[in-house]
Amino acid sequence: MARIVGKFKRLFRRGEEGTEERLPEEEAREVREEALQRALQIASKQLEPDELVETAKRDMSKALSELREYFGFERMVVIDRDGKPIGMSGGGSFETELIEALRSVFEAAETADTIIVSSESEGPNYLAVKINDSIAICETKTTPSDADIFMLRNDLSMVIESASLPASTEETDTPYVVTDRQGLVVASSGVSNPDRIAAEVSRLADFLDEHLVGELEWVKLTTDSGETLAVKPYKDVLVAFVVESDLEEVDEECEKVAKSLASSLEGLIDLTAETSASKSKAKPSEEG
Amino acid sequence: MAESEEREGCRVICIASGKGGTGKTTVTANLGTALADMDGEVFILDADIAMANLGLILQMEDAPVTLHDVLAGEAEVEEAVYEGPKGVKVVPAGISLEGIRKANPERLRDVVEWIVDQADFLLIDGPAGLGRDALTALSASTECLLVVNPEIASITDALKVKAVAERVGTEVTGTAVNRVTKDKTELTKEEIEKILETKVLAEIPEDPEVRRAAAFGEPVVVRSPKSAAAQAFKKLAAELLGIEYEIEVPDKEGILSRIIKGLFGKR
Repeated sequence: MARIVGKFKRLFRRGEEGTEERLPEEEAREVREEALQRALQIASKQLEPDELVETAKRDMSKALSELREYFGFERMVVIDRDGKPIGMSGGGSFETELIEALRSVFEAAETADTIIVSSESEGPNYLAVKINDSIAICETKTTPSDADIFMLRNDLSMVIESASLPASTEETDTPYVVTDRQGLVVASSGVSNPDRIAAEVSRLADFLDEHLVGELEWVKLTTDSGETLAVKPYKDVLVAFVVESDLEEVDEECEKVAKSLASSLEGLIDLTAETSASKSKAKPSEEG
Repeated sequence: MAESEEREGCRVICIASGKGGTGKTTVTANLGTALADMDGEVFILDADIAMANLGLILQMEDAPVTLHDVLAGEAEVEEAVYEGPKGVKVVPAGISLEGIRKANPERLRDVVEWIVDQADFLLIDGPAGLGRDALTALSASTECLLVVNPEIASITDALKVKAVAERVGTEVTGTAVNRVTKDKTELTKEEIEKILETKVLAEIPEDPEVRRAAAFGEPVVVRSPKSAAAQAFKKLAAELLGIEYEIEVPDKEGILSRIIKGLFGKR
């Protein structure tokens, strides 16, 4: 009998437990709307392959930035078979030794198409994927999943295929070298030894960064014959070029050439992002 | 479908979700059984190689030959095919760690190819997440049915599965929303359709009958065919077949039968 009573009690208790305390109507609606908005926001960040291709056709660096943001990479660079960057995003400078090491592994292990370099500590992880003749190197704080790698390969190959010709092949009247902060040539034109210039320019920028107060805005070295070697630092890269001009007009000339180069290099690399120093200097005048 | 009839192409549907615990295996077992009951030759295959459960909920955990043996190259596919309820053909995966170690997921394509020649429908119970096994299952399928719960984490994870499916060229047929309680905080069918941009083919209610059936190693569509969940599974099957489904009127359970059930644990 006690067993039967016990079962009755459990039966009724279960009934009570089953009756969930409902949230008031208003609060429930608020909860659902919040979930909906957040989910829609996440949905809007999904990469649409077709749109990515269209972006890549217009601007490869923008397409790479979209990929980098989607996969949560800190920075990424795409290099061609000669190790020359054909696109970069997020301050894509990497140690030359790292790039060379990854290239060597791909060369030695012919069938390998993905390399993951992971750190046990909180140090960055690297993901390198080989797509035809190109290699994309990405720095990430997380460990990419198989799906991430699959999607990255898929989307990157579309971006590389669709991208317009790298700007490095574009000819301009002004000889120039674009180098990353490690001295790796990103693009060049009209220069016979871009690697050496890139190495020297990046070393000079490092030296100046180390010994001068504030962030570098311009480096201008003028000879008595009216030639000026100008170096303009951007967020990710240094652009070095030579102008011929009178001393009084050299600043104006440099600005003009820098603007023109930025326009012709558009699509390869984001040259609109100024250094933080120039941004902060611009502020007071904007406000004033 | 009569054997003599000319067989149209087999539909290979991956039952997928990003998040674990959404009920993929339950959907696979019940949808497969419902389809087999309605029409044609239906196979269900457990491609969750590391966490196999399909055999467990169909009481096939002791199957002597499993998908693992086939993927290890130690058995032929036909040796791992078992007849389940309503004639559904089941290819269970093993649960031994040794089997998991030996299995080569790349062989799944060969298994699928063999089944495609025999079947009208092949449902692949894919693993949760988006690891190598899940990618293999997705890419071996021609269609994908997303299984989600009506909450944000499950649905946003499904977004990623959808993105991957689109990239492997697997068509997303629709979504099955599982474990629906109709609580007002739950995302609605329309909202889920808006987020995932796919049609919700079925809303399967949270139903204690599903758990009961699983405990007894039977699909709920067989054990409690008139239960709310069973009806939803059958409706989903009909939807996939493009036919109308007439809802069966559930038996009314009187207070006396509920007391008897509570007291004596009988159904």
